[in-house]
Amino acid sequence: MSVRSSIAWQVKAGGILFGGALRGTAQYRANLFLTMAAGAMFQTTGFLALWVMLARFGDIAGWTISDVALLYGIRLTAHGLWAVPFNQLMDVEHFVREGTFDRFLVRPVNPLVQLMTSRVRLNTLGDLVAGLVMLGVAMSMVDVDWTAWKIAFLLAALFGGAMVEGGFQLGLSAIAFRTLGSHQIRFTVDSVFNLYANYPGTVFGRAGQWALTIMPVAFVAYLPASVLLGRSGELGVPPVLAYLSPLIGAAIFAGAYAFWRRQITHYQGAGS
Amino acid sequence: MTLTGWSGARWAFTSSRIRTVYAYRTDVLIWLVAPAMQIVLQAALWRAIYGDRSIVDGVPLAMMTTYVSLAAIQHLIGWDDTTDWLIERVRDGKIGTDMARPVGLLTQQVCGQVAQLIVKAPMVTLLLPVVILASGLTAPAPGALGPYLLSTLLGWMVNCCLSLLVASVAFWTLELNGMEFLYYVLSGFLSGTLVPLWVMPDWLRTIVEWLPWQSVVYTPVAIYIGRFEGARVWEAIGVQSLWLVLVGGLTWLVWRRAVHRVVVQGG
Repeated sequence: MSVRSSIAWQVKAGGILFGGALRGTAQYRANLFLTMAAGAMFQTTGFLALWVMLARFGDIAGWTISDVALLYGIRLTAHGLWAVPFNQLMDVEHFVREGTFDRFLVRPVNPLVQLMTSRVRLNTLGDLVAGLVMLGVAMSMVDVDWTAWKIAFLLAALFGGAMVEGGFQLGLSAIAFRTLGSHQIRFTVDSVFNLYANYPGTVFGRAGQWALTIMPVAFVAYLPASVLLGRSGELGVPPVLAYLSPLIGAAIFAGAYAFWRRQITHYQGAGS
Repeated sequence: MTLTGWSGARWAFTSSRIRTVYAYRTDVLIWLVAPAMQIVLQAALWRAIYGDRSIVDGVPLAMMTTYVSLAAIQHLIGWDDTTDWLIERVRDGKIGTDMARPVGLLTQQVCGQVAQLIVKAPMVTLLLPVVILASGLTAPAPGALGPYLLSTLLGWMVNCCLSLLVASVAFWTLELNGMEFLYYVLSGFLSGTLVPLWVMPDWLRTIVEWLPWQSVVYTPVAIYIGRFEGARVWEAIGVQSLWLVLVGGLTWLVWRRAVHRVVVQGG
């Protein structure tokens, strides 16, 4: 048991399960590229609209198109980083309602790892690819000297942002163990991130910035992008929060995972 | 079939679909949260982008925020679940039962869309307070109310036909995951919901002007805010009517062919 509960064992088992799910999805090749393209297109339409607006108006609250592209690229990459491994969270209520979550509990692998690898959806991979492309292009366009510490901060911020969004989705999906449904609230929270995490907080005024920092949508991209662009001085919130953004993601995710572990004990099986 | 029988069957079908949509009214209400947030966001974005400028391209800020808010609502009314519904019916073979009904399959779809409009239109008006608060919705331009309502009706009809065309793909592919939502997002761009046509660069505006989606949202809302005046209003409504005939005819043709593709599995 001690061997099986070790992290190395969980990672190995997760890899085997993921490989199987990936082979399953890879059987439908035409569908694979179509869904990837659809995912990427869905996420980039908002940027396309912003690009059209800025082509006419020049800047938004002092942010040029390349500044906004960096922010958007960070958000989309962070989104892809959590969505690729964790998109199966959207099926948790299905497993709970059908009672098929039983099988995750009797196998010797962490139920969350089994849930994550139960199926691979590649439309989220489209999000990640689109995010990396946008981030790469934006990094070469913005007026930033990419020193080693800035690259390190960017990487930490990407994973931090992924953990902010992923943590929220993980925590909310755990509600399904008690209420059998969590789809609507997760959809709404996802909409908040999709809508408000993509724009410089200055757009929403000082009160809006505080609201987005508390929610904490701003930690995904706006605050780290401000640090990288040397704009932390113009923030409506204390700049130290911006520098701490990667750590905040880790804290949220840890809290969400603890909550998930607690809620899973409320699972009652089928027909309840 | 007598005339009363003809309309009676259609109304019976429509009212049964109304009850289906109404049964999910809580879902519809929660589904309004995201558009409400989007309207607040759009108004904030345009306020920030205008900055110190009060008029750009002859459009004052209040006119712009009215445009984007109203456009979001018009676009939302056009959202319907015909595609997902049809894919499910085709996939599990229930489409066979639908085809055996005395009312034609295409007519059933149109009744379904009317039913959605009847349930959703009053619910969407719940967004009006948000719009007024976020964007300071202005009154319609003088004399624009009548043409606006006519144009909205035409736009809704063009949108119905376009949705049916997209849905008909299900007859050929059987599998079309998430296609409906992607289409909704793309049509948001092409219909001028996200960015009005006059803001677009010339090359992009030319493309969008030659596509049918601008008649769905851009034309009615541009009439409302007074972007079109005098004869231009009726010219725009004429273009919408033309699109309705074109897209409507195409829909009828495609659906007539599509029903021959149906293979009922396991039935």
